[in-house]
Amino acid sequence: MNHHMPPTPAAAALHSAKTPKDREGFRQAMSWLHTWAGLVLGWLLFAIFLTGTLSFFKNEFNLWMRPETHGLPAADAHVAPKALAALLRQVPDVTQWIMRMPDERDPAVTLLWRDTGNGRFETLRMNPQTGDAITTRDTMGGDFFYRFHFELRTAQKGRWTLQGRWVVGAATLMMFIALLTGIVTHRRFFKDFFTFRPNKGGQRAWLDAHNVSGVLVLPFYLMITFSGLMIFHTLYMPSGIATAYRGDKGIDSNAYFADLQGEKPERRVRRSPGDKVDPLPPIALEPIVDAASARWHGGHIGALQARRDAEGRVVVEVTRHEGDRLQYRPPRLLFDGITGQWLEQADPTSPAVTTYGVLYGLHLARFAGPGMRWALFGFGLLGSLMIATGMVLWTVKRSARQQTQSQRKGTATTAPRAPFGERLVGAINIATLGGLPLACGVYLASNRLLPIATTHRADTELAWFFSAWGLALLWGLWCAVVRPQRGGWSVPMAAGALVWTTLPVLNALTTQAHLGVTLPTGEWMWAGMDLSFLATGALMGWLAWRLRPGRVPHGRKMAPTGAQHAPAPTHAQEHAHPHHGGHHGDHAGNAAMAPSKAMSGG
Amino acid sequence: MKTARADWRYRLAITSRTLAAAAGGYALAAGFTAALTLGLAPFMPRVEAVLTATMLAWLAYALAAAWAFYARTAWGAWGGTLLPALALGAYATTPQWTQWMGTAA
Repeated sequence: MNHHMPPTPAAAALHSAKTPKDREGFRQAMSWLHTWAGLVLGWLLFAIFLTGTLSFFKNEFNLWMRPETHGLPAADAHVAPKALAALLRQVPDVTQWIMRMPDERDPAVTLLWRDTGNGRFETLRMNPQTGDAITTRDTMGGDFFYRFHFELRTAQKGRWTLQGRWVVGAATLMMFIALLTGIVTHRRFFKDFFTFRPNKGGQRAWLDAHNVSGVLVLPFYLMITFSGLMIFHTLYMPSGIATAYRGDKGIDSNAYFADLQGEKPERRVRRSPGDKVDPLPPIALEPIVDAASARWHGGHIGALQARRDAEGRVVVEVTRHEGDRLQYRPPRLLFDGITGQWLEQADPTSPAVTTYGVLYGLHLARFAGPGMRWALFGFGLLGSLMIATGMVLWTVKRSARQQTQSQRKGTATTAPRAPFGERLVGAINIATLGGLPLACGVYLASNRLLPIATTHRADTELAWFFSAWGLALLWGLWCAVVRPQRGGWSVPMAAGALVWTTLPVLNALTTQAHLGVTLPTGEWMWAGMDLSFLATGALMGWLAWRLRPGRVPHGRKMAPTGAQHAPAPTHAQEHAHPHHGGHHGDHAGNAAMAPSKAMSGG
Repeated sequence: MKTARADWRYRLAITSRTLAAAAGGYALAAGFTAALTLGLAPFMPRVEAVLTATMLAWLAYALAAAWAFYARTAWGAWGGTLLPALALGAYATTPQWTQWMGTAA
């Protein structure tokens, strides 16, 4: 009946293993692997993909969530020495600092610094003309989406981030396997690409949506997944390093990192717990900045940093702006911090390292201008859509099959409940695909609603995010597992619509960076956020409307979620042979499509 | 359509294959990375050897996972991943073996 993902094909394939003639072949086994690799970590993948997609606009979220930075003046060319002086006024015994220069996406100077202790970097934001510190509300901003995306961060200074990276790595590998097996399963790319039959409704529409979103930007998915694995290869696959960098004193990973980044090993900072580091001496930044600009023929400087290298020498590193090229990291120039003398350039150019750098750069997309950024954002949404439709397809197929069976048995009026596993999948579908966009909106709303003086404010915002997500899970469990009923999808969608459309209003009531100010002055970066929130809210509202409980009158299955099994058995055949066209079919088809678009919430 | 019965033997076989794909596949990929790094090291800077091998390793992992579910039996899934992993690991650690033999003699 269906060339793609036949129901539990491996059941037969594996069971009749002793008689090879009966085996369903390589493609069938891959199809089975595709289904299960996708299902097992699919929700996590969806969350990783969606928050990663939002991270393409990390800087813009950072700005919106710190409205205090609105209306900063344009950058002054000589801000670096002023910012450093301002830092030293606050922290005289600074031992290491990194200064991010203002650019078109982030007007403030951002300074990360550490004192003589071994603690984490602290952050200071500064006016790009005066160097004066700007006090902003305590928030993780867009960095939360970014951090959650690759280490499932649950608190501002979370503890389980390394474990989180491992889990994300496992999910990424699953995605990689699902993509490759999907390609095998899927011989007929072009045919599938031009095949979209939402009017047929039910399973067919879901399958088509999954195929179209899967095939459309397949190279993007392969790139983003593969580069994701490679970015953390020193964590996930260190055996090559262990082989090539083995010395008398064990594995010299420091030398590997130096080679990887085109540095000399002795230039790298090494701080062990308990080390006492001397504060930095006064540094004359102006001549260093001038020398770097001259060396790059006026190229845009992205960041400056000062530290002591492994030999105790004070080094100032000037990094070229990330928007200047595809390959990550950008080239860096090293200067002696005391004499201001140029030491060396760090910029590896060998083939494999360059390939790796390009993969890394593609994943981060810091090279991208606004048009490219929106395109990548769209690809990310399509990827989320592909994952979501795959998840829903699993329950749709099963419930359709179950209905056919119960109909055949003549038990149409007292249809049995779906098995627990299916109902659970349905519940988590609601919680993830509907609940995550809602939780993202709640996180943004908390940024405006929480009093500025709240203690641990940044973590409280995260608590709002996870509470909203948790509530969505409880709702999903209630609707799909405990009391199977309709309407499981529409409530989180409607709540999400409400939250997202309210965001610009909350913004206007609580800050000076609202649409009434940003639209007339043409500040599109600020206005764009509010407008995107409105669009997201409208989209979720539309979905909630399409999925509302009363919408499908004749017992026709609406949004197949595993939640609505009860009274639809007489129409089960329609899913297999959708013979009727016209308004009714169109209707149901669109409704069935709808929840998949929920992840456009961004 | 007929639904295949998911009895305990079937579940056990699937669990076994899943473990073979995950753990055996990882062992194979890690051995592959180490062995290829060692093989490439004489011809290029060592950072190049590591990165080339590591980038290819993910394909080896994916192929191992595919094999684990295509193999005729669950035992085949384990054998097909662990035996090559052992061979690659043995090759990758030859410098240490020879060094150890040298010091022992």
